[in-house]
Amino acid sequence: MTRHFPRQLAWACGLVMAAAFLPVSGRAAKPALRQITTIATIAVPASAFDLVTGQAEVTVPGGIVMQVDSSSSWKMQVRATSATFTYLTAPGTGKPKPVAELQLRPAGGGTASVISTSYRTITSSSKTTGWDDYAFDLILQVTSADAGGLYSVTLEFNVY
Amino acid sequence: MKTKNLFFPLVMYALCGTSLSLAQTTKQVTVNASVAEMLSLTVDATSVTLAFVAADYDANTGLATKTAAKATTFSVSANRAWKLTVRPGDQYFTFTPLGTAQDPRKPVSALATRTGVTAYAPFSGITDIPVATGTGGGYSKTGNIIPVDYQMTSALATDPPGAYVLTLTYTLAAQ
Repeated sequence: MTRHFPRQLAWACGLVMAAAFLPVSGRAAKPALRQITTIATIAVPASAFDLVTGQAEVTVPGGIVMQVDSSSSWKMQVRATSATFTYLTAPGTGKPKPVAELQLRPAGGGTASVISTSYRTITSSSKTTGWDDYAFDLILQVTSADAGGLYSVTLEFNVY
Repeated sequence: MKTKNLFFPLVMYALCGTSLSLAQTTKQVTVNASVAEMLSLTVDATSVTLAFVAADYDANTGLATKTAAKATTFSVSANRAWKLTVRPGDQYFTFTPLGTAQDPRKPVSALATRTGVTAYAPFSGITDIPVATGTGGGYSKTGNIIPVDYQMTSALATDPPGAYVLTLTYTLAAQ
């Protein structure tokens, strides 16, 4: 009896620890996230500007696609890793463009979330049927204070 | 012997743990925005006429001056600093006589422009004359609507009757 105890204990510990992470048919209890989009591009042509106000708003439908796999309810959040865009054309020059001029919303409609450096919930759902796609529209506002050129910002998505 | 018995259960946990660690919950996406340079110039009229009549001429000097206030209004919309300039298409007016008069080769210096209440600036050959400057903004921004006045002089001694035409080219450029 004493001779078999360590092996039985090891089995029990292994199964309990494994079961804690794989409760239902091998899927993770915690939602898992993976990305289809790694780089999203927004083009703002000169024709997009309102000549009277000097402002433009450009929407890229489904510009970002993520995938979620979850066996339970989950929420997705997004934040920017910096408060302003990086002006790649001439770094350090011009007026810093705030990330608040970028919004995300579930593709096709829904409430748009203004991007900031704090996490904002952009969508949520119940358990998925596998790796389900979740697409988001990108909405960028441009003012006449934004010089022509290339702006960049990194968004961080999180599911829980 | 005991070590061997423990090996398989622990390997099983290790494998499960490894597969679970691949299910990350945070991902990063780079968003690049390409903003075009925008410089837009519009004008409300492309033709200005200054009609001299006999009564315009000073009976003693034979000189006349005619003005056309706010004859053309330019509207600028841009997302960077800009400057507006104007340049005559030739050193002389094109002349179409009323009758058989010869072309007097009237110089462009007989025409001057201004914006606002500044002094008139006469043209001088085929060179640019600054009209206005500004920074980014649409038409609604103060200074982006630019009315232009024109003033022309004529002399009975040198200008035979006829039509004098000069083409002016306005150019909006980034500063």
